[in-house]
Amino acid sequence: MTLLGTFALWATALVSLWGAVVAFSGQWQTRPELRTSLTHAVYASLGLLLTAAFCLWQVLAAHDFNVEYVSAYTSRNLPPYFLISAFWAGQKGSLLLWAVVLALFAALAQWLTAKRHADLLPWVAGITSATLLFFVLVMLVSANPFERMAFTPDDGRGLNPQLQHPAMIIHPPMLYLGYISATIPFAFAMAAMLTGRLDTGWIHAIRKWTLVSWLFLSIGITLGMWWAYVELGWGGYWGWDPVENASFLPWLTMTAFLHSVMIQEKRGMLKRWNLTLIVITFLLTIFGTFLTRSGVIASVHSFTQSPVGWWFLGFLFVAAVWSFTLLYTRWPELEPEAELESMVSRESAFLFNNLLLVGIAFSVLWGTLFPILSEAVQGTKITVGPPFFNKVNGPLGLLLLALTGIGPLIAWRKASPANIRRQFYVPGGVFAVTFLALFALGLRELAVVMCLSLAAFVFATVAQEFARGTRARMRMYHEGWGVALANLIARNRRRYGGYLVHVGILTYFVAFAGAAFRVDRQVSLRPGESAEVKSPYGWTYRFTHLGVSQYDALNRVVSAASVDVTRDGKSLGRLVSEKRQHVDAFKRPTFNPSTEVGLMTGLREDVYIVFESAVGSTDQANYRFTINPLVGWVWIAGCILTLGGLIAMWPGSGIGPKGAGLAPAAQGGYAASLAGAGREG
Amino acid sequence: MRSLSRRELLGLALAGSGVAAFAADLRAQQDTGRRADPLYDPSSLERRPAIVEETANDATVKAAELRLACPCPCTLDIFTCRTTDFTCSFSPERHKEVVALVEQGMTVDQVLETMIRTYGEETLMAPRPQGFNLVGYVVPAAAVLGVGAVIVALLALRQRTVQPAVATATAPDAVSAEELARVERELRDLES
Repeated sequence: MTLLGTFALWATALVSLWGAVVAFSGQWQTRPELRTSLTHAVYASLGLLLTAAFCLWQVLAAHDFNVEYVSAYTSRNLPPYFLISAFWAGQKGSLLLWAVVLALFAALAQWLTAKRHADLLPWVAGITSATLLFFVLVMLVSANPFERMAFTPDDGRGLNPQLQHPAMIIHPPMLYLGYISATIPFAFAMAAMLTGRLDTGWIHAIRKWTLVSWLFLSIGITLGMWWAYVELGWGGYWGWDPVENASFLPWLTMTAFLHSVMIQEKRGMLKRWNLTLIVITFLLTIFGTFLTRSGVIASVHSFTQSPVGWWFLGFLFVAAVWSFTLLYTRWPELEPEAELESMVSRESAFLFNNLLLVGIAFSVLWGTLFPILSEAVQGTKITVGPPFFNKVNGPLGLLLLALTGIGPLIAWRKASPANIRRQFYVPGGVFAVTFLALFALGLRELAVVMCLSLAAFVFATVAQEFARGTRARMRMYHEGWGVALANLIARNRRRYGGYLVHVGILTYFVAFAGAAFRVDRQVSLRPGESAEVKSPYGWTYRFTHLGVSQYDALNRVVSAASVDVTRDGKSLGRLVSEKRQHVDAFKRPTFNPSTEVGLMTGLREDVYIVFESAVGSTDQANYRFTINPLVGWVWIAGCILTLGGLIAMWPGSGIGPKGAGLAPAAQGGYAASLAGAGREG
Repeated sequence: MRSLSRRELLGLALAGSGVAAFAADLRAQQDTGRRADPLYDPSSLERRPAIVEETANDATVKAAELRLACPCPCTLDIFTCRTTDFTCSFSPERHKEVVALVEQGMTVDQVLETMIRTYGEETLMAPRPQGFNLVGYVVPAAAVLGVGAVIVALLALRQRTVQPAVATATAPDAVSAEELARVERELRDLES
């Protein structure tokens, strides 16, 4: 199997090389058979990489410990379903996953848009083939997952206990899907520049693919937050770790693009900026990969230090020089078809939204790299952790939240005072009332009060849009409100899906604000003893320690500590937190002990307990009890955002293939003008 | 050799039983200590668990620890590390230092100053906004404000030049209400 796997990788390298050479030679323009061959090369790469993936799974499932990767990430007693996550638990396997996903998206791009973007597809095939060639070469030269060792250990080291969690089966693939699919919009953008076809048609292909990437990345990031919360035991879900930042950066630039592309579609403006955003997004995915795989910055999530990272730095450099040179050469052809006319318009709001999103991306990147810069300048090491990021990004985040509400309500081209009054009368009132109510309730943290008030404001703007649209349909088509609402969303999925995404975003902000009220208490308890913790809502939680039990499980020795939980005297049930010592099949310890938290999730707050240790091997236990307000809303926010994203990208929504040819920028601008006039009238 | 009386024999037996019982108890305790318990084996854990003191929950201690970085590879602060990564040997030691400083009556800022003097700026979770590190705090906000100011200036300039054209384009009288409704309907159909 390892021979077949390695052969499949070499074959992929050759096929990808063929694809890249044929595409960039331009010979396919005169020889149709080469054009067909290009498409076949993309499909063949996918088939070969799927073969390689199958081979890796085979050796993992067969416990072939002579294979270095199998020995490093599995053991005989690893539960079978975690063999799935073992595939991408290490550097080598994750690179193979990356290559498989890239090949899959490259094939989908050829298959799904074969007719619509026929003139761009050969170039797209060339760019994806070149990228794939790079990944496969990195594997073959530096990180071959099929590498065999000179000896065969009797058992493997096993999977890191923190990766033995159901979320790790789905979180990394989701993140990878988001990260890697960013290559496709990049390829389309480059293809458009290479062909000189810089009309509005290509932007639709890019927008759809970016939406797909953005949605996968959003899901992946949220799943990562959930995994960190339930598995790592520190009671939080986002720590501004360099690896977390690496996933957040392209998300921010993609979000900026998904807003600014609307201006290009409606008004034919910001073409240069949109292309720049697409290029930056792709480069950030490569840069993030470099960060996590080079060991240049310390992170709990990163792979071990290896030369692989420097390959990525080289690739990043080449890709940046090539794409920006291409952009520079096409710069004169990317003239805007219209000009911004007013500071108070939706275009301006989107422009400022882009400024903030890119500003936050810059700030995150800056903070991530600042320790290196500071050490180079001052010669002393510094740590840049959450206090820095919260301080720098907090105000920018609040401004962005405000724009989330303002943007969709302002008319295109130019908003009149009447338009502003009509649109902001209710949401502005909701903001003021919420602000005063929170202040009256005793909240004095200005950032938290602003965050919650702005969230209420954004919610009011979205609710107002839904209410007005539904009412209009009820009036025009005599529909009941339920049917009217459903039809409203169905008839303009992109717009109303987008509004739902906004609700998801404001829900994230509300959940984040809850972190300001987190309460922790550490205690030692003998069996029967209790400790009390006061929640921010004024409730008193009482934790009564029941004892510590020990037992052997499949691949671990477990010490489980139990507490009975009551709130204001009312029983809430029992929570168990574990310490696990993972062992191999011969009962030899494999990793440091890990923690399994005890968790009670609620809409208002979570009860989160961590069993630290037993004191002196007795039943006396050290605990950390944490009350975490509003954390449950992070996961709800993720669901709302995903639903909104799915609605927005559902086939047929927004301007599809029909609109691509029929709604050039000027027409869009005219329509926007009429609609704006109507609202004002 | 004098023979033991029954009373002495009974006394000795009782004393022997007591010693045996004590020894058995001691042995039992030692057995508990040696219980097969790989979680708490000092060879695999550098840190031996001790009873949590109430100072661990002191607000000043916690506030200071949240701003101090743990030197282990966890990238967490001292408070989070010592209450999360129970294999770390650094954070409990730093915790003891912080507790000692707080017990001397120091405020959070004084604790941080003392720790910086001992371990350098790296011990903070975020650098102080002074000297070159101030650049770290200022640059992102300055960049956003700077670019924002340029955009506003350009828009203001442009607004002055295109004002008349806009007034014509957005004039509501240019179309009738019926036409407007029709165009909006068609547009919606086009976009769906």
